[in-house]
Amino acid sequence: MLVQGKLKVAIAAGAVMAAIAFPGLSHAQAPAAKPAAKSAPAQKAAPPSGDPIIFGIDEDATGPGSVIARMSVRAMRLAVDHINETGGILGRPVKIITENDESDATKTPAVTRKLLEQGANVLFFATAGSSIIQAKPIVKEAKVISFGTYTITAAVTAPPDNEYVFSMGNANADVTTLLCQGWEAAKVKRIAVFGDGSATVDTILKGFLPALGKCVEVVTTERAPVDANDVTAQITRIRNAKPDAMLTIANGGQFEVLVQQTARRLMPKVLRFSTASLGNQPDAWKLASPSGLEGLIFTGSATLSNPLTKQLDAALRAKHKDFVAVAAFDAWSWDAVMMAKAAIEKAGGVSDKEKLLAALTSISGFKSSFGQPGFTLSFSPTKHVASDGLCGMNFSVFGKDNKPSPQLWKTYQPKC
Amino acid sequence: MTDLQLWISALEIGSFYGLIALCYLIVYQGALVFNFAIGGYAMMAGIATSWLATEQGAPVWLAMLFGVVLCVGSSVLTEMVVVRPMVRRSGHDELPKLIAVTAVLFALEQGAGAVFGRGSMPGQWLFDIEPIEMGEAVLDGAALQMFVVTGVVFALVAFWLNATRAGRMLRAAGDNPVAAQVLGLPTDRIRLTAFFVAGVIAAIAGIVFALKSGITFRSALPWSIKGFLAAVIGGTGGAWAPLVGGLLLGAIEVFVPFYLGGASVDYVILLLAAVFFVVRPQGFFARRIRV
Amino acid sequence: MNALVRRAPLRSRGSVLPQILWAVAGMIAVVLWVGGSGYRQDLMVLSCSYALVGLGMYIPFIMGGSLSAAYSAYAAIGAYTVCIVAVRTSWPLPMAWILGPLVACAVAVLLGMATRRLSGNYLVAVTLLFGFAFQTWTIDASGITGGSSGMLGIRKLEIAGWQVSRQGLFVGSLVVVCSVAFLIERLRLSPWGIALRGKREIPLAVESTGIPVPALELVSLGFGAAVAALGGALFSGYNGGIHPETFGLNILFLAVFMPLVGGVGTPWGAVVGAVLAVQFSLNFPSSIAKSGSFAFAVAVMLVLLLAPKGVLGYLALLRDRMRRRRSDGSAAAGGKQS
Repeated sequence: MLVQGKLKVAIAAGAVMAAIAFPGLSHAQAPAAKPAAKSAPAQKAAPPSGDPIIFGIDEDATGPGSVIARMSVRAMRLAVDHINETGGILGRPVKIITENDESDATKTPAVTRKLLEQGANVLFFATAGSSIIQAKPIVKEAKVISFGTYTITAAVTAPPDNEYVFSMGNANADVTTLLCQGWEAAKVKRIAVFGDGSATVDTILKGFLPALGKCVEVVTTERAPVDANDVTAQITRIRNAKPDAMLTIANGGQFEVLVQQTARRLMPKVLRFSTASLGNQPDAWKLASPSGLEGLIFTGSATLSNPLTKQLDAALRAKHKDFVAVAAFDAWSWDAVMMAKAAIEKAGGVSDKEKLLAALTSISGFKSSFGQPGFTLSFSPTKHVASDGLCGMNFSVFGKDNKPSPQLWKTYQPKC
Repeated sequence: MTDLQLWISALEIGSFYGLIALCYLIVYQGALVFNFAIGGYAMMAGIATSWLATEQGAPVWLAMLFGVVLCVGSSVLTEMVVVRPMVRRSGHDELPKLIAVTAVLFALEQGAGAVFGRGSMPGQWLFDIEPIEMGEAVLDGAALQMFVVTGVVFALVAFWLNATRAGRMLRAAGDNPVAAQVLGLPTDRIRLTAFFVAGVIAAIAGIVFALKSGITFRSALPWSIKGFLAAVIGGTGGAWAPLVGGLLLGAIEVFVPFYLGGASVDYVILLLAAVFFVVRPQGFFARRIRV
Repeated sequence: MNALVRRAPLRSRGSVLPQILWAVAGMIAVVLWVGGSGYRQDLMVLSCSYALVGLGMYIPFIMGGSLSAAYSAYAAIGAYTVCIVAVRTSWPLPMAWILGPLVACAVAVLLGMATRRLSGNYLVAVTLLFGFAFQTWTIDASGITGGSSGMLGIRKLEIAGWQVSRQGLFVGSLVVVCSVAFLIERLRLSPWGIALRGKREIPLAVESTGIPVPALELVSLGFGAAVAALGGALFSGYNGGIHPETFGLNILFLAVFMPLVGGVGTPWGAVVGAVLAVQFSLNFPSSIAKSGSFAFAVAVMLVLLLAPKGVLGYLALLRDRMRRRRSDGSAAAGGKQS
């Protein structure tokens, strides 16, 4: 009787689990199920053959960063498909393997090691900055070139243990320079800074504040937890400090929508600026109330006037029906794959790891799929952030429809 | 503390925390366990509603109904599949139940992420409520709706607990579980009722609060934690205790950063909590048991 | 007293020798399974780190019934101490492995004293807030902790002039975990452990025997924190660094789950739970469940429902059943013959 009772419980529990797990399964597999190489190759090339070159991706597929990681991995898969359709790398096909660390830094070392053991020749980290930092000693020991595909944490590419770690987006110094130029043009003198409570933003703030202090007066710096339910207190403090403009530095998402909407409501006359976060997350725009983001100026990276960005936008749009707009994370991830390809071709293969590193750190003038037309990327032994200067960015403005308007900010744009 | 806007914010998030805390209290009375999965139910209701309305284009009322059913279903299933067998087996040992419902929270979180997607989704309006200007301050529709809903829910629950047979049985079961069993109260049914009512309240709370800044599958854990803190602050001394706890927590979350800056919030809240619990180790309202 | 006797036999049959044999067999099995794979070695070292955190939770929580939610902070203290000593001082590194647990123990005792009037959920609330505040502090106090960049570039562990390799650390961590589990098992059966377990069930009865219950609780909280800090030290020592966001709420929930999954009847349950946690959340086929934490949460639920005494408890039950069946069988056979 007791056993029977237990069995019933087991069956019921199993049914619940199945109900939860199976829709998830189909959801998870849906994109992969589509034939990847259905479209005709863009260029006639001999199909790649031989041992595949393995790109290992640590993707936060289910954790706090899963939305951004999904964007990033989507662009990387597209890039790899493109490579395989156009003859591979040195005639060899590229194979992607992925593992999931859920942005849990205790798991990242093991996940990294698993990718390495499965033969990864290049690593791509679509995960949190803290996770990448935790993996740096392993990457260094294994001597495998690694890209943080969307991280903007400066500590990722800074010493120690940074020899094999690279990232794509603009360095903090570039962003502050651009902001200062923009504020000068807009006659903004007094700035309030609003950051979320994460370690990533803390690092950025520490770099930003001294630099911004040189061109404007920072009247107050406010912080709120990433999962804050309300930021009225912080915005009221900012309003009471009477700034000309507010700069938000955050991981974007719900948090930043809350900040921008509260700021717009409580101090409609204060200009609102944001570093590349919300502007790069099309999925989060729909959270805002009607015209809740209108007037927000952000340092964007993707502009369709760059022909390579336009191509990427078209390719992603063709492949994913829920695609909203191309953003920096797509472009950074695509370019990371393409730079890895260039490095491998330059080094003549992946077997000599030091040669591969040397090849990567000697790439310069690489045509970027983000930034203004003609923008380039480069690495050197001391420069581990790919962007070459200010033209990787622009000032974009959100319109009434809570989307960045095609018209960039009229007051100032970087001169390229 | 004269800025009306800050009070509106404090009341809004405080009301939400109060509703979640009320769910904790009701389940605690019925099952003697702090049901950590509450935040998961509320998230489930909010995310399912938004998903059906925005991604599938269903009418909002239907989406809300779906959200409520899913939320109440999760809550009731937790009772039938997880808690009941454990009560049968280990009686009132709180430990395994506590851990099991915490596991339910994580399963709900990841389950919702897998089914409804991992992106954020906007909350859904049943009625469009125009913001009301009150001098310098603005009372927006989401806050107004939260106030009304919270008032109604607490009034109904207070009435239910004090004036109905089921409610009084629930209180009896929570105050003295051994006596309740001895007296032959239908403890299984009482527990199921508690989970059902908590599920309904969690659904309402989740759907209404999603209006403030949207919802993701990751909302579950923070909501559980905030509601738990509010429940602990309020104590178990009656239907209104969770509301007091929630409002106090809401006020702390708004006024501490306002006066001291956001950087020190975590330290100040820890300090306040330590001092508060030393002064009132049973929360604001302790349960007085009539023997 | 009735409840106490019914729920857990205070003097269990577990004797020393079989435990040691099982532990040694387990260690050999693990070393064989790992073989030359660096990845499997990582999994096992992570299991050891988790196991120590779970063992730390076992003492005050499972034995004493007080749930402290500051375990993420305790693990972080252990991890940070190793990194701080390695980067900012020239002290011998083994000192850090001792210092970290001592600091965590002191913090836990202070926290316990500050909250001594609180019990149950109030203790959980305050320690939870402490965990949040501690994480914020590791970001703020960049002069000590390296702040939001975390700490990397730590030197290798040296014991008496011998540099410990990764392999060495791996085997060493297995030995440490088994020793700690063994120690706690002995502790559990000692008068002190019996008093602590009694306190969980009926504090008044223990108090009336003249044992000071608050002191008992403080010691258990401090000891638990120290063991958890050792787990943190192992993690950062092996992986060569730490970051403020490495030990968050995840590790707290794991610490609560692991002992129950493995089986609360013995601290070895926490070890088994840790191995399962790592296997489920990292080594589980993603074609079945995309999220490792989902897989583990489901496993926790199933274990609690189907094998309430945990995996070890279930195995013991099976073993007893087999023995009974065997003896029944021989008795029946004997019956027929006669």
